[in-house]
Amino acid sequence: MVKIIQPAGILDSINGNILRREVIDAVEAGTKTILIDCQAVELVDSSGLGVLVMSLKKVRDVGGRLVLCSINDQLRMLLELTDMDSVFEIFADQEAFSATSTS
Amino acid sequence: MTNPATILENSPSFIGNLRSRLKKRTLLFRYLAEINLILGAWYLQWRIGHSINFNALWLAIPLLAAEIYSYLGGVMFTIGLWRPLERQVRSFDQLSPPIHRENWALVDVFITCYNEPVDLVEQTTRAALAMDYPVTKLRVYVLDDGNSPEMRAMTQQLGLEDLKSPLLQAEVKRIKAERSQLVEQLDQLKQMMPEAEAAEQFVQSIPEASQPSEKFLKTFHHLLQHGSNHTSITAQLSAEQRKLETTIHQKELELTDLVRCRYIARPKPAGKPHHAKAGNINYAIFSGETTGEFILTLDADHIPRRQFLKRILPYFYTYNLAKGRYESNQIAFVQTPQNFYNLPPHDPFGHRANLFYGPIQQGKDGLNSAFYTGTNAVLRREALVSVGLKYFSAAFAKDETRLDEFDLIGGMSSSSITEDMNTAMRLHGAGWKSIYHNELLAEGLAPDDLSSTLKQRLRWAQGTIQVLLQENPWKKPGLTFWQRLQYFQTMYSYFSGFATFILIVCPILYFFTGVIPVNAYGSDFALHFFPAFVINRLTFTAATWGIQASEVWRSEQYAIALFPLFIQAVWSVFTKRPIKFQVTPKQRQSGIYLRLVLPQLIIFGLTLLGIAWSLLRFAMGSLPDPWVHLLNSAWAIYNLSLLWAVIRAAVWQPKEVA
Repeated sequence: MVKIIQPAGILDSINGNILRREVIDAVEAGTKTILIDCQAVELVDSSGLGVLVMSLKKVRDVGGRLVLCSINDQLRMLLELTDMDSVFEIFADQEAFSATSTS
Repeated sequence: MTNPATILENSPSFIGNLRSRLKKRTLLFRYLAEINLILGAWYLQWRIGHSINFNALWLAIPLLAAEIYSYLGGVMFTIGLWRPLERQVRSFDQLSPPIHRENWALVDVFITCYNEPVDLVEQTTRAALAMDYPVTKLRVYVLDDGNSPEMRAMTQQLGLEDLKSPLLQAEVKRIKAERSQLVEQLDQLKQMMPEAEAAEQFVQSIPEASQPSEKFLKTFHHLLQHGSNHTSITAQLSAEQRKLETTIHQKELELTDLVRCRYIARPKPAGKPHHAKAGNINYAIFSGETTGEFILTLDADHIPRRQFLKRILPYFYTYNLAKGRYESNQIAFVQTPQNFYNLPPHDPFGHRANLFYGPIQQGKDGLNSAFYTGTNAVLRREALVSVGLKYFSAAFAKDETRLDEFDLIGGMSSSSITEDMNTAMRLHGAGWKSIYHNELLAEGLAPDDLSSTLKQRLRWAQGTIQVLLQENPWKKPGLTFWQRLQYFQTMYSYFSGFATFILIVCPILYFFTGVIPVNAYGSDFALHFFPAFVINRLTFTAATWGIQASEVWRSEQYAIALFPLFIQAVWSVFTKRPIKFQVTPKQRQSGIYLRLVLPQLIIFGLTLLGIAWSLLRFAMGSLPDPWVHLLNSAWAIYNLSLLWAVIRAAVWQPKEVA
């Protein structure tokens, strides 16, 4: 079962906490794979990025998997500048992800 | 006290909000320093070329090395003082154009503590809550690494007390009023719902509008729907209802947010690295409980003054003329001085640091390499986290299991026991800038016994050398040449123990064995040495203008007298012994500590014996070269007066309060 989370707007420390809670809820409900679809995200600051890493940690703790998709240029640049693109699994969009998970 | 940054709260004397200028008397200092360096070089070339005693190379070479080491240190020290900045700033509420209070940034205060007495932390926390800043924009977190129930209780108690204060109660009233207004709107909306539903059903049930009145109703209905993307008025109303409910929820959150005094204690599972103070701060950053744009870090005992934030925040903004608004700039942190309110008279332990929190920091500021000292500084969260993430991902690339401790290592550097210096160097390396603001804004406690003082100094020395080995500033990308030099100079200075040892031992060796590393102690020596020495003292006086001579002397004494500790520090880091972060005790550890200064005592005793031995032989008329002995005795007495400070400190006891 894949849980898809779609945050929207500006992902900073405040909105990040909402996202983090969603991830924690999903993990506690037994979800093993979480896809964060960033289609509607306008901007991520480093605190928001920190939240994403904390979420990754939470999911990995229970042996799960967390992936990102549909990231915009700003987030891509931030990920590259902080070398975080090697930490996250990133897909072009939801279809690209489901293509890999079904095959 | 150092010259504080001039307070310009209401001064119309300059345009703009910030101004910096070269410190007064800098040109005099530069002039003297140039002569000093030239004379020093002249002395050195004479030492190398004309005065090495080839009959005692085993001593002559180390002495020469020690002198070259000292000269190079002096060159770097001079460069560090070359461009000291004096900054002037308008307070945050006096900016022109102003920033509306509603838009002031959210600030988190982190008070880091570890087993300090509760009432000490309470004093700091109270002062932090009393800082002059909008109450809804300030949050004070006690980061308790000791995880003590008393500390938690104190924090909760203070949180409640704070909430009762008139300022907070006014906020409570305002938010409650806003909320009840919203609730009223919601109620009205809910009452309208059934009527609206019925009306809509009625309009829709009209088969074909024949009557003019029915036609009108239909058109009116269309009009109402027009411009909204909802299919019906009922849908529109329920969307409105949801919106209201979220806003009401937000108001409730705002109310809970008014508890400004909060407590965070991280879990410390046994067998896992905790990363000391850096881990404590990082946990708070990533715990999700803190969201401030700026972070003021305070050690548990450092009591901030009311105006702290107002004085410091202006540095983080630049007015963009084209856009007509303030924007965040590239300043990552602003450091302020440290001073202590518990220093005994004459400062036996040499804690007063007006030389460091004065010319040295101002000089570093001029080279964009202000030193972050872990307390009394405001940091930009964005800078800290973005740089921290970068280093985390590098660590992750090597070892994926480090994800487990991300929340302890993802922000402030945790790879050294002087996390503050290392963090600043990483920020500078990533292109962020820094400021040193020379106005005393918080005062704390200094250790008032020798044991704690030595522990603190040892940690600084070990940590600094550790950073040199782990992140050599010369190899670190992103730093400017001057920044590299500044960081290297600090690290270099901690190797002084070896040079000091040689310089102190030379006269002793001469008294007892007659071995002399220099082959010309006559007028030739005087001609080369004394001009350099005199001008060196003058240069130093110019550089430390405004600081009490006794304080400068005390700093010099400690720089020399702690040589065994500096040697120990270098030794322990290079032999890779495990180094523990030890929190400096805040309570006096009473006792007499002659054991701790044993090497200094031995040297002190031998020097005294040597002088006595020379005098004895002189009295008996069997002393060869009395002038050379006199010169060595003068040198030895100078050494004694330097060493005396730490021996005095070992037996120092506070005066009983009558």
